[in-house]
Amino acid sequence: MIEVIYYEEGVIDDPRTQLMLRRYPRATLIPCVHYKDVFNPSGQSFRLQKEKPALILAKQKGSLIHSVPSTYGIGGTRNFYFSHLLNCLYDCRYCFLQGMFPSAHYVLFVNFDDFKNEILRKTEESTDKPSWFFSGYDCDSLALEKITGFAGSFLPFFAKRPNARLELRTKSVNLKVLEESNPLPNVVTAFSFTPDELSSQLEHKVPSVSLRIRAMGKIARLGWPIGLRIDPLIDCRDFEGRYRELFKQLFSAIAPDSIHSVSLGTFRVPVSYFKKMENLYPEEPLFAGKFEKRGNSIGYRKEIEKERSDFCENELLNHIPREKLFQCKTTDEDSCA
Amino acid sequence: MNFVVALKAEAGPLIQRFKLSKQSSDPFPLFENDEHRLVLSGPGKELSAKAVKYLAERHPQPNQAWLNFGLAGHGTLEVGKAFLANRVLDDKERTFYPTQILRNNLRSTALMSHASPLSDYPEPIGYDMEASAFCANASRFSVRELIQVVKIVSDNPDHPVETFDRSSASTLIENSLSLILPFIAQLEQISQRVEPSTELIKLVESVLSLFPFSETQRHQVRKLLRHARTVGLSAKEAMDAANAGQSAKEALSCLQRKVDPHRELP
Repeated sequence: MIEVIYYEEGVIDDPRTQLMLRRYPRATLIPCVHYKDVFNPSGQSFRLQKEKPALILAKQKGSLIHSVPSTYGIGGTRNFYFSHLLNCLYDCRYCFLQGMFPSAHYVLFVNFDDFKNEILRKTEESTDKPSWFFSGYDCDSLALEKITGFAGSFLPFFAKRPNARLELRTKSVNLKVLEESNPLPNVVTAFSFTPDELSSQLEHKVPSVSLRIRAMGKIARLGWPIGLRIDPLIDCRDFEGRYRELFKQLFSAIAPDSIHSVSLGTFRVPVSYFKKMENLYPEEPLFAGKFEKRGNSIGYRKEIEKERSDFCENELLNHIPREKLFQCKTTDEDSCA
Repeated sequence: MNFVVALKAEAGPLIQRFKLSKQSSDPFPLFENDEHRLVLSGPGKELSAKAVKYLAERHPQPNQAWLNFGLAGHGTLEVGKAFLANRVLDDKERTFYPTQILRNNLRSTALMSHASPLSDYPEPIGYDMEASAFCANASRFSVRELIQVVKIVSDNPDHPVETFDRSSASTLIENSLSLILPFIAQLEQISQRVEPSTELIKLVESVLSLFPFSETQRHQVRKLLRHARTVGLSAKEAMDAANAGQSAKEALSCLQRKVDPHRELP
């Protein structure tokens, strides 16, 4: 699966680097001084790289944990995100990563302990309010678990720190790491969904909706709190029928008590990302949708966005209490996808 | 597909294999067929850079495949071995990392470009005189995935460059073609995935010739025609819609009305 590994010369002796190199003994190894020498140059084709991404092993320096606007939260007031990994195994046509990153290579930051120390520091800043840490902003938290060992390393860490909350956001069905651990009340596994008809058009390399629902049901029965992320909402033919059916499938697969939170998010990306995404896939029907520019973002026309969002909110409230429903709200100046 | 090769002796087997015919001699000898172009740059970085620019300006289509091909020294590989550069180093230029996305049976190794031939081989990497300038310049005209460097080892510590028999250059390259040709075929194949659609380019040109569009309107025409194609309208349907207008503004409105009902994702 991984045929080329770039590594920062400074991380060659790191145990996690050594583990990777042992795991892929036949990979071509290419040293670099800084991961950005490979990842950042302009003029790379994200689309072509996506066919065979390389793995880049690096050390993340500087600020490792970043604040998240409170409007993106799922009930907490202290919200942070961190990125141990850049890029994703999957290839969702709506994903903002393809507009944000110059490269489709996976960058794995091997200095997990530095992330943990920073999480600990943030958590200890407040003893009365829990701190939420979102791990799936720049990647899928679990899809590359076999390579990264991320959850395997972080679950025991969070097990000892109940005031620190972790969201694993994923479209993966490979949940072995969760199945083999004791469920943790402070770790929410959040699954993103679009209706089946959209998933098959737009979510390339992603397991089918039914497989994901089955996998989600399995870990819910084991006691893991589940998050549902209806994000991004995609306008389409028979929108109401398709989303109503999706909700029916989701809520029949898991018991209400297992649901920690449900969030709704509209499709909204910065203009520059959208242009890049459109240039990468000029033949993609998604990008011919009824969009408009608002501030620095592009999203569905306001009336469509409101109508679709209101419909989903009302439908979801047939299944869950209001306190479990969260809107990923965006202003015209920021973005969320 | 563009080849940049320093010397005729290195280029001969490719010229023969692709049946390229000479198109010009000045400022660089250029050989072509319908799909391939090969320029003989002469030795050294400066000439290589100029040859890339010459070829790119002569054939300005974006996102073409570019291959720098020829002989090189190597610190460890045996003479006659073909290799693909995975890092192109230079004492002045930034290191260039040609993206390794093609499956192939070539050895993968770093390559250092020097200003003059080296008589020693301090590291287990390749040594040439052109690749770094080739990469730096070709990346102005195409995406990095389509810019590759393949070399065949002509000299190494056991067979230093002073002992290299220039008359054997063609034979060395000919013997490696079975490994290199599949790589070239793949490179051409992936380049087609990021080349702009010629059908769409023609349609845009046809519609833009109908009326005197302003620069903003030209941009809108391009976008609407791209969307028309995306949502499944034929070129004729789009052309007819634009033709139904009596002015640039009306043509745009007609096109918009034609496309809008199809914008919902199936």
